[in-house]
Amino acid sequence: MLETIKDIIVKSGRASEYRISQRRKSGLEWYFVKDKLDSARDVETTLYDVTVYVDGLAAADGADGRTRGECTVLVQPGSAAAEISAIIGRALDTAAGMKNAWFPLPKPSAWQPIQPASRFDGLTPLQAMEAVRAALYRHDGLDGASINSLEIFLSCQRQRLVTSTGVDVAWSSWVGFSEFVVNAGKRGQDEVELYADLRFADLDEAQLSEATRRQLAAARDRLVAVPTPALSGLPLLLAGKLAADVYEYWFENAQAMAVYEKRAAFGPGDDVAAGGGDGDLLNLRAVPTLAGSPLGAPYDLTGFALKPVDLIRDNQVVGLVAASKYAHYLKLPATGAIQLFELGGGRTLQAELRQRDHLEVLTFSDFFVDSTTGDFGGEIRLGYLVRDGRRQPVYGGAVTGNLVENRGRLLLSSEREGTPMALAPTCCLLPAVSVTPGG
Amino acid sequence: MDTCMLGDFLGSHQERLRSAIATLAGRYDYVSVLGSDSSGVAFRVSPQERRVADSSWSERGFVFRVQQAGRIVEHAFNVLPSGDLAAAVAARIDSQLADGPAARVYPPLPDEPAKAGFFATVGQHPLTADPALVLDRLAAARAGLMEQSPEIVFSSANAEFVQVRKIFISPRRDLAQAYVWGQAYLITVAKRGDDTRENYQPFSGRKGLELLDELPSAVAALAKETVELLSAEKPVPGEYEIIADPDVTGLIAHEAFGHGVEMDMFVKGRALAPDYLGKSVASPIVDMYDGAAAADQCGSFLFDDEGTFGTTTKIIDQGILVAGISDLQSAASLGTRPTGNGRRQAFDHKTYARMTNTYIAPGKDTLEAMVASIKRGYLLQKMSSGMEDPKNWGIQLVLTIGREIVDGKLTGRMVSPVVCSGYVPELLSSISMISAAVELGGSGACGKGYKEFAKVSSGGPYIKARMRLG
Repeated sequence: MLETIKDIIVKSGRASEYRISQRRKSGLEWYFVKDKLDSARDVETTLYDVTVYVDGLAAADGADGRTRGECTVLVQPGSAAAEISAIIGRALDTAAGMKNAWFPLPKPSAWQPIQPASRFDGLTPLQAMEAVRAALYRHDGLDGASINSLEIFLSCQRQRLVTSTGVDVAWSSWVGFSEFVVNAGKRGQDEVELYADLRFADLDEAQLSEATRRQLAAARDRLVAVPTPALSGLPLLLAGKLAADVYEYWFENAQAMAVYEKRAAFGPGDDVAAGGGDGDLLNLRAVPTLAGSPLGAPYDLTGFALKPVDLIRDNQVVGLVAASKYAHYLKLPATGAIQLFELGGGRTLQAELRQRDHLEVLTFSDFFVDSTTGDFGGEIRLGYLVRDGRRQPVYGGAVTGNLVENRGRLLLSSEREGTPMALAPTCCLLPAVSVTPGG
Repeated sequence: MDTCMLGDFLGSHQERLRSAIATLAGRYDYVSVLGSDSSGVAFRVSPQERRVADSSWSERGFVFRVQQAGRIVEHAFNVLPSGDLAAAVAARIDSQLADGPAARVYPPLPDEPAKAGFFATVGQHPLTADPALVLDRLAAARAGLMEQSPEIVFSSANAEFVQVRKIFISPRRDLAQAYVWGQAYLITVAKRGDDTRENYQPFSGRKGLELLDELPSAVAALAKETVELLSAEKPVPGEYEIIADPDVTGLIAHEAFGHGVEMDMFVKGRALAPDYLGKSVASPIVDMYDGAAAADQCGSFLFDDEGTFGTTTKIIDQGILVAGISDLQSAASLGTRPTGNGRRQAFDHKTYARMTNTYIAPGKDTLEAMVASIKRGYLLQKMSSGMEDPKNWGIQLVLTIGREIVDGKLTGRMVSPVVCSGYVPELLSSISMISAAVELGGSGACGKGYKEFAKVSSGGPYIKARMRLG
């Protein structure tokens, strides 16, 4: 099929360049209510993404007068040659009608990225699913809290990328996801629920079982939580994925596309703390893959072989994540479209940060961080108010703030932990927040 | 006007699928197949760049669903095997039935006889248009935004159109449908010093390229509003009288109660709603509906992804909770009639009970009277996000704009962003005025948790209520 698509593009004689991506997915899905399988599915799909590029000349747009139009289409497996020809023809017509500034596509690289190994390798799909299920249910019933419902998705995905510039690479990855809801209390009386999800690429049974154990323990705390009181001047402590969501603001603003479109909060050479604050220095690095994360890839969609790249060093922007197109537009080194990041640790141990008076939010209804405005916040489903050495579970109300107002003032734990998106400080303290009381 | 057609792909495989279903019907207690061949195109015009790509809503494939001895399993694929289709499907189904953990047993899924088709008309079919002309129209709208103020530093114009084509075949049902939906966004970013504000204007409907006719008239107002946001302050946390505009009313209906009456949540014991059926959950002036047949918007269709015809469900009647919305599996489990709300993100995703077009019904008040009745509060506009909490009946809405009202008048001052939180019955019971005209919007998508996105619409009139803002 891939060869057929390639032949049709080449024989058309109209494409200046092309890119063909083939993605094969083979997966199982189990849906549980309590500890019983509610339904099961298996999924086998193959998808072809095809991008054609058509070059031209224009007076205005291209720096050297050259233009490049592109169009991406899906070619469904099993399509007849005539149908593929029609789809490709439409894509070529569309690309020919666009006159964006010209940019190069990556060429084959001597760099051979390494995909992290997974303990799912060598297991049958059924063995892998059963191992995940057993780990997630290990602590079910902990102190009277139980799993209400749980879903497991696990697939092996194989990707091949072929381009007209000579790139022909292939890699495979395991993509795991689980969503689980836990209950504590008695139905019809005081029952509460908490929701969580988990992405994984490795069979780390300790990590999987710890994820549900933490949530079961949290549900017990939610039972005895009190409405969030009126608070003023207390910093907000976020940990794990919520902290990574905050850190992602700097990663999102260190994207060449955001700088090119003038949406970014800072650019190359800028001081991200704007010279002020007594917070920890930010040291941010883009990385293609992280152990246990299903979100990374060794190559970007254009076939660029990805390597780690420094973005912010001691608060100064020293680089941008730049796919070939935006690197060319901004005259920057191309890095490829790297998806993940590492953030350096701070000066303070997590335990010391946690000793200070603060509000920690463990679970929001839906935590948001706006990478353009810097606004963040959400309704509190479960938090902990730590004051004068006492720790009180709280719920309800909301936290809001803005990362520009917290610029240079963020305190980071020295310890780091991995999330699907980042290897980054385990927790952070944000001093400038506003709390709406609950109840 | 163009008529949407089923297309060659599904048409050419119907007989083979019918034959496989007939064979498998002798092997399993229940069997059905959903076939999808939906295609779409997405356009984006941003600074110095134009892009066209197939829509991420495009899909082509099949999912066979089987019930055997009460167990429910599915096999989804997008490459039809060349040999015996029934045998290939049975092999995958049987291996799932044979292995795996202890399973729940469901009552028999229904298979009532029906044969029907729905082939919608569309003003200007988006998939046969010249993409360059679409891009030119988007570029004109975008350029118009940039001309309005030097403080607008970024804008983009985006549009997406999808032609949905589906067939459903079971031993006693044979259904087909084809229709188009469209959505568009104008997006703006304004900067003043360190302050950056973002805004948008959505457009949507079961419309083709005629949707783009709506963009030019929105340009000036969007630009003005975005620049106004640069002067917005943060709301002082507290409880206020609020007026929700139709978009925000829809978000309240969707998040506050729509998710809470998805009946697969009843089966899991994840919703408080079953305990409140027949009881007051809202002000007596509130009626609320959901249904694919209840409106002509992005959540409308003839049949859902389980072959159940779309209906209109009255969820709240004069403040009383009267019904939920269900997929086949939850209806079978609860012994209720399915409402046509069994929906998948795509053929390779599971069916859940999902909303379609969800709205609060009109009242008799005017917006002017609502504003005049407020001592101190806000007119809330421009939804950003929302999240349900059906078990604890908490609610979170994030909005871009709150327009201050003092002594019955809009002051011209704005707060942003606005995080609204509260307890659903308190919020719905506090609704004291409802305006007469209903508007529905269907841009964006609804998730079940953080996945399984479905095309829905929501809306209603302006409503006056009380909410906690921060």
